[in-house]
Amino acid sequence: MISTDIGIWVSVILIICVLTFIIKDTPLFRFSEATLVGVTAGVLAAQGLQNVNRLAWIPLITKADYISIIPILLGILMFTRVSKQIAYISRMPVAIMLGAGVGVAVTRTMATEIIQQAGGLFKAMPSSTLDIINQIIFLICTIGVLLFFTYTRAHVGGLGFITRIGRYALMLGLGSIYAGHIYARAAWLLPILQRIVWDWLGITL
Amino acid sequence: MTAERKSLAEKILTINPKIIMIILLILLIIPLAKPLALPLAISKNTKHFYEIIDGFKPGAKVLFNYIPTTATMGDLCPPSVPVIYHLYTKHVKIYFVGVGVADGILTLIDTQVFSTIPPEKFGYKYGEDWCNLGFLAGGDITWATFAKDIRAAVKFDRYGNPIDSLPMMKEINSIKDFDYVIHCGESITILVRQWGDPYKIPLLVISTTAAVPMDVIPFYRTGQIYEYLGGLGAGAEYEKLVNRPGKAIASVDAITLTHIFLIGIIILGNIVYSSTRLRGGKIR
Repeated sequence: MISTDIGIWVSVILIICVLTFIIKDTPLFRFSEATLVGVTAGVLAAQGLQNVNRLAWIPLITKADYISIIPILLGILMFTRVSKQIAYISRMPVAIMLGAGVGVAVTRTMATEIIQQAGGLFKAMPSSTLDIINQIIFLICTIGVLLFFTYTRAHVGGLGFITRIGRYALMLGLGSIYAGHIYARAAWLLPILQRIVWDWLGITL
Repeated sequence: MTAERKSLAEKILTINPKIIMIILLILLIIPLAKPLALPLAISKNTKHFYEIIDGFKPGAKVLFNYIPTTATMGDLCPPSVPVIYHLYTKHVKIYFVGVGVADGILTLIDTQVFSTIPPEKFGYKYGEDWCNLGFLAGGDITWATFAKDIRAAVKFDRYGNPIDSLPMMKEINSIKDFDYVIHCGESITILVRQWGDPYKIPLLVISTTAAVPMDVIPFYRTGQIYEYLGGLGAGAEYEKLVNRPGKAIASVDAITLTHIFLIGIIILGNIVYSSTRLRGGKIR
């Protein structure tokens, strides 16, 4: 039985508007696109205000947490962008955010994504013949891919052989990523189709 | 001037993509309306994930970082439901939070999880057995701050209660105080970088299918991620393991059918392309 919920009707109408893009770029699609952008901006603004309130303003006024003044002040400085004369001030909070973010990230990146990953090549001790073969293939492929991105010598002879293996390994890796994305796209489409079939048309299992 | 007739090979290789999209839509809709009950095998990873949670002791403290987005909800919300259901049955303490750039903890957890399996239905009391610490926007800094000193990052829960008023927060100061972390969402690299590696805490990850080969497997292989569930398919397997069929099982038929179709057209396209080139023909 078709739903009588106004919210479901609105969402289904917008979904159908989006799906018209399969045929061509229609005004209906553009309407739903603009609606999405507007609603998202509104939700993000509300969330931003809620975050400022919850994380900085309330602690400041209820617990006299004066340290909260600093992020509030930096946030206010971002709005100086509206005036050309003082727009340069907005670079200060951006610089602090970027500097702190990069600092925190980079210190851990080396250990987590380079040293641990390189060590991982030899970490798992193979327990069966198949595992040993697997480990050898993995090692050869890794070396091949790394050598594939060296440009100081021409990829001929022995080097050419191993870089070709690296290229095939890359292609296999990319193929696997591509397959994962195909899967994900179909999975992303499912909730909107479930909304149409289950929630709107009322076809239940 | 007469129009040049296209060969069958050319017709196949130059087919309008819109036709493929419409076929895909139809193939996705049919199993949703009438499930085909295709066979479902349980993968090694899903079984291990299940066994790990099944081994949780009552009262264990589990941090559940829930950050699906509207784009990834189709792949992430269905597997999260049976996992949370399983956690309820083990009577562990669940600390929900949304640290990251997505806001699933504010909206999707209500509409996709609590509407189906409300904690109260399983005897869970807010503040004592479960809590929702809300959404913390940000990248590395937020993750690192939360891990080091939770009170520096969170002052109030999702519903405006000071976190010190929640009895279950008394013994929690940093991420080290949790027994396990379950992460549902993207940002896997930050998760490992800021939570898993520095604090040596076991990470259980519910990731999108697309993220598995690139973001999850490299960390899983090195032991930086303890175990993972890869998207909707793994969710369907998990629903089967906890014997609670839900959205994932109902949706997985649709995914399987579209994949069979896509594999078919990829093989067909490659055969036609290769045979045309072998015959010396050109593809326009």
